[in-house]
Parts: sequence; C-alpha cells; structure tokens
Amino acid sequence: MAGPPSSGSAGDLELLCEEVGHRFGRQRLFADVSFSLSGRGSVCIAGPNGSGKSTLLRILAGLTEPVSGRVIWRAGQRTLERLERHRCLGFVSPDLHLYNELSVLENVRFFARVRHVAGSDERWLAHLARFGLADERDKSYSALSSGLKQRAKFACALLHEPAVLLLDEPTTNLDRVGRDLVAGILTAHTEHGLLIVATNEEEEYRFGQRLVRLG
Amino acid sequence: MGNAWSAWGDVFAIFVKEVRCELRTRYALNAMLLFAVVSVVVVGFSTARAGTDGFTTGALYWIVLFFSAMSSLAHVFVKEEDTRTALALRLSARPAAVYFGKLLFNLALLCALALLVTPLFIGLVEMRIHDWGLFASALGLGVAGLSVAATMVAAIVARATLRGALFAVLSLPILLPLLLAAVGATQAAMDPVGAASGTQELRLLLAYVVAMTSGSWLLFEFVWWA
Repeated sequence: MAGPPSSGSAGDLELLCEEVGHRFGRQRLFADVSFSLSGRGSVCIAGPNGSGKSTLLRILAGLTEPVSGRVIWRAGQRTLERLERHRCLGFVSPDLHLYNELSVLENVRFFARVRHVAGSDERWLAHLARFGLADERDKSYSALSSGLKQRAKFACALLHEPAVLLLDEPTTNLDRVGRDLVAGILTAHTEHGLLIVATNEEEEYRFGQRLVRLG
Repeated sequence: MGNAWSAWGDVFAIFVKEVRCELRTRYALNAMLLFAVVSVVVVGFSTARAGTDGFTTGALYWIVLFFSAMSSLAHVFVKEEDTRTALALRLSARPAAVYFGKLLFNLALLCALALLVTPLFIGLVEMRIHDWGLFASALGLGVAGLSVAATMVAAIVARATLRGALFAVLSLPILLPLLLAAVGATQAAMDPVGAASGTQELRLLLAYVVAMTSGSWLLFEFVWWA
C-alpha cells in the first residue's frame, strides 16, 4: 500500500480542491474555489486583504473545515488522512510562531523530534546555516528580529523536507537577502514538489504556475 | 514495540519542552507557589487560634491544593493559543503525544505542589495523620485525577472565546466528585478508625482516574482539531 510521500519528492501525490467555500457567520469569504495539483507544480492564491487567502491555506492543510466543497489529498489511489497529510506538509504563516522561550536550535531540535526526523546538532546547524541562522542558534526566538523569525519559521517548516509547501505571505518582513533566499528555496521546491503560495504581492505571483484569485 | 517507544519519545519531548519553557518564564510555578504558601500560612494562623477538627483540616488541605493548582494548570493549552504556537504543534505532533506530554507536565507541577504544601500543612495546621498509607494513596490518586481532569478542561477552554467563565463552568461538575472522594479519603486517614471508609473512597478515586484518563484520551483528538 502506498504511503504518503514523506520527504522531498511529491511522487504520486495529488491535491484536489473541489468547489470549496467558506464563511464566518454571515460574511461570505469565498465560494466555489476549485483547482488541482499533482506530481509537482505550484499555485499562487492572490487577493486583497480579507479575501480569505489564509483561510483557504488552512483549509488545504486540514486545519479548518470548509463550509462547502471538499479538499482531498491522494497518494496513488489512497486518500490521505489528516495526520498523513501533515507528515508531508511544510507550513509557514504569520499565524504560526515558534516557542519564544526556546533558542532557535532548541526549536529546531524539538520540531525535528516530534516530526521523527533523525539527526544530530551538526545536521541542524548546517540546516540553520542554509537560512543564515547559524550565528543566531543560541538566541531565543523572542530575541530575533521579525525577519529572522520568518527565516526560523522556514527552517522549522523545511526540516522534514516536505513534499508540499503551503506558504502564507512568505516574504513578509524579509530583507532583500531573505527574499532571494526564499525565492531560491521555492524555485528549487517546484522542481520536485507541490507549492501553494498565498500572497498579495504581485512580485510573488511568479512562484505559481497557476493563479487563483479570491475576492 | 518500536511505535510504542516512538510514541513515548514524543510524549517525553513535549514534556521536556514544557518544563524548559516553564523554567525560563516561571509563570505557572510562581503563581502556584505564591497561592500555596500564602493560603497555607493564612489557614495556619486562623486555625491556630480557633482550632480545627480533623474533618475540617482534610477539606482545607484539598481546598489549598485545588486552588493553587487551578491557578496554573489551565495555562498549558491557553498559552499555546495565545502565543500562536499551537498551529506549529498541531502540524508536527500527534494529538495523543500532545495530550500526554502536557498531562505529564501538569502532573509534575502538582506533585511538586503537593510536596511543598503537605509538610507545610502538617507543620502549620497540625494535620494529624493516623494511616500514612491511606493518606499517600489518597494524595497520589487525587493529584493524578486533578491533573487529568484539569488538562482536559484546559484543552477545551483553550479553544473557546469566553475562557474564564467556561473553565469554571466545566470544572465544577468534572472536579467535584474527585474532590469529594479525595477529601473523604484524607479525612479517613486522619481518623483512627476510618480505614474502611477510606478504602471505599480510594476505589472511587481509582475509578475516576481510570475513567477520566480513558475518556480524555479518546476525546482529546476531537477537541484538538475543533
């Protein structure tokens, strides 16, 4: 039986977003959003503030139930359960933070441990260096600037080399170097995995081979 | 076997994370210690003048433990939501590991509290224990039950908007049977002829801990994804 692609390549992973709609109380956010992705590829979700981009990402990740429609993740013929989905998912969002009380390295160690990613401090330091965080490894997350926090979130989201990346405003707070770093990661990721980016920065539309507009 | 070890490894990782975060902020520890010490001293001074019988002392002992614990135990999940780390935890860890990791942390906090309050109470309030085995069993099971129930209620409350009110409303029916049994068992341990009724209360406490742990384990996943 085919399991979920745990790392790197999306393999035969398929994402179906079928007529998904959501509302908060009486306020409709979006309706009938449909698209699909398989193997490798990318989608950019665009729209003004309040159009529901972040909510749609949460729905795709299985963190929020849509009011209408459905989201299906498949590996071959098998539909993935929520926990299997999370195993092959990397998520970066302004709504997601790391632990303020832990250092950057301790955060990485903790998320690697609960995600069952084997490795030593040597490996985690090399991983942090990839994000320009090697010198910040012993600083607590709360002491980092907002740009470095964003890099730390990327470092933790990519620890398990996820086949799917869901990114909400990925370049928020990043300087030019950080933006180039993220651009490099995303370009490399689309060569072997699935990428979904929610943004209202026109410059970031290039990360998606397809554009889904909300609002 | 490998899966079981891996699951316990996850639980332990979450427990260690909780301990590390708590030792660096000491939010729960300070609140709990302040409440415990102040309330034991106040009870000690008040009862020194008026005197108290064993039955009242047993009830006062659990009141101090309960309120000291409640000032901190609820924060394990609320803190994750408030600091927006819950999302990262949801995406990375298995729900059962999160629940048992947090439960273990609450249990450790309560054990530390009991270790502080018990000698203070015995010294200041003249709590005379006749059956130490019964008292230790009542304390162990009471602390376990309080940890299990408070952890589950904290998980429910963390997902709600009116947290304070909901915590009180949910805690009352869930914790009252536990507290009544724990008080009963403690009173029996202070009574020279109370062993028989104490054993009955212990059975009730054990049943409560087993039922609440099983129920929480089954329900937690629904609460965590709600």
